[in-house]
Amino acid sequence: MRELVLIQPGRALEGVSRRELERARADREFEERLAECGPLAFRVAQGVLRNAADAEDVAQEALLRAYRNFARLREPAKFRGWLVRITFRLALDRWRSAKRRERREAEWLQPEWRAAAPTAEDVAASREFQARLERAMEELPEQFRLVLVLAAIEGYTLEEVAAMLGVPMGTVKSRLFFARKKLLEKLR
Amino acid sequence: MSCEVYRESLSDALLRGEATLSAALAEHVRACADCAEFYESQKQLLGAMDLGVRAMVNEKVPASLLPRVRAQREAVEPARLRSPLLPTAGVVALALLILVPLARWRARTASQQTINPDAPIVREQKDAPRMDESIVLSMHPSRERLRAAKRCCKPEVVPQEAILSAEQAAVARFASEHPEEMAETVRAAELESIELSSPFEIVPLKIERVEFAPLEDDTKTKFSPVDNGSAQFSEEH
Repeated sequence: MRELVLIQPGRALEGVSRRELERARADREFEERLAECGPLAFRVAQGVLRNAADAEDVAQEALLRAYRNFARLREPAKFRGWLVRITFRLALDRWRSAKRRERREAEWLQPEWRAAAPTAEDVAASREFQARLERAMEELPEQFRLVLVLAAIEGYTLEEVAAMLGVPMGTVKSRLFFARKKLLEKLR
Repeated sequence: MSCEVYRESLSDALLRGEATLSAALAEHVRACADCAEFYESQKQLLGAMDLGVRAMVNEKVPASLLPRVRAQREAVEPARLRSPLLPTAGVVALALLILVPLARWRARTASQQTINPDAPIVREQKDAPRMDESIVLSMHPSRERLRAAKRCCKPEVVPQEAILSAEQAAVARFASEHPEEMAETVRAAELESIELSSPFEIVPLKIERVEFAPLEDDTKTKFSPVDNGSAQFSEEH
């Protein structure tokens, strides 16, 4: 028995090409955001993790998540704010898990296997200060920490930071003030 | 003001990024050597702190970051390619899946509602006066019981007798042609209805004597019950 099949080549091709065009346009838009916000994501992650390799991994994951949700995030300000928040969150998660791992390893490590502690002469003053600064930053509340990191990133004004976080300018200024004050108290 | 208070104010001025100190603070810094030293040390510390944070954050972005994201992007299906109506359709389908069986179940339970034996039961009584709905509501507070009570109190529809127009015409013709007989028929019908509706008693039938008589023959057969329960037939000519 012969089957009759109704073929509408014009419509099918039209559907495919429309989908492809849509995707190509979205990819082009995402590429623009990627070039603009990729370094921002890396720096936010770096501000939390202080390790370039880990920060790169986190930034990559955050950017891919942003791509997955790009339909909601086409507006540039919305995209930046979302990316900053998700990157900061992912970086904090990774930092916490790294801390847990370090603690576990320290508990299991035998004293004779531990690396020899550097002498006071070996430690440069700047490195010691950097370590104290890092510890002080880790102890900051999350919202203060995020504002401190964003305000320290080159090329972003406090107005842009406020727009990214979706909070008023005054809130950003007060958070920054308290964050720096806490750091200063810890470093004294 | 003590030096402690001045130092607090000096720190705050530095944290706010004020380029110049207020007159009172500047005068105290000039007058107090310790506070001047504190101010200088705080200025250096804050400068070092800001530099440290900036150095920490503004590290060079690895060149591999963007190519890695581009390469991984191929494997990621963006959510935007899905229809935006899909979540809505899912919610509607879920709601239907829940609501339709629920509505059916409610309808079934309403029809098969078993009333608590302790609760008052409303029964239809022909001669009893109709119960007020507010009383029924107070006796049956639940909605299902109210429905049941409404069904119960609802007067039944009396089926009407179907009379053909030909029958009506025949009765009218009969009444016009034989008015006396019509009146008698009506009276008899009324009497019959009165007799039927009046109370009566059913008693066992007692037969004392039965006679069988042929119509053409003059011979008569008589049946007479006797005392021992049997019957006796006799023929008379």
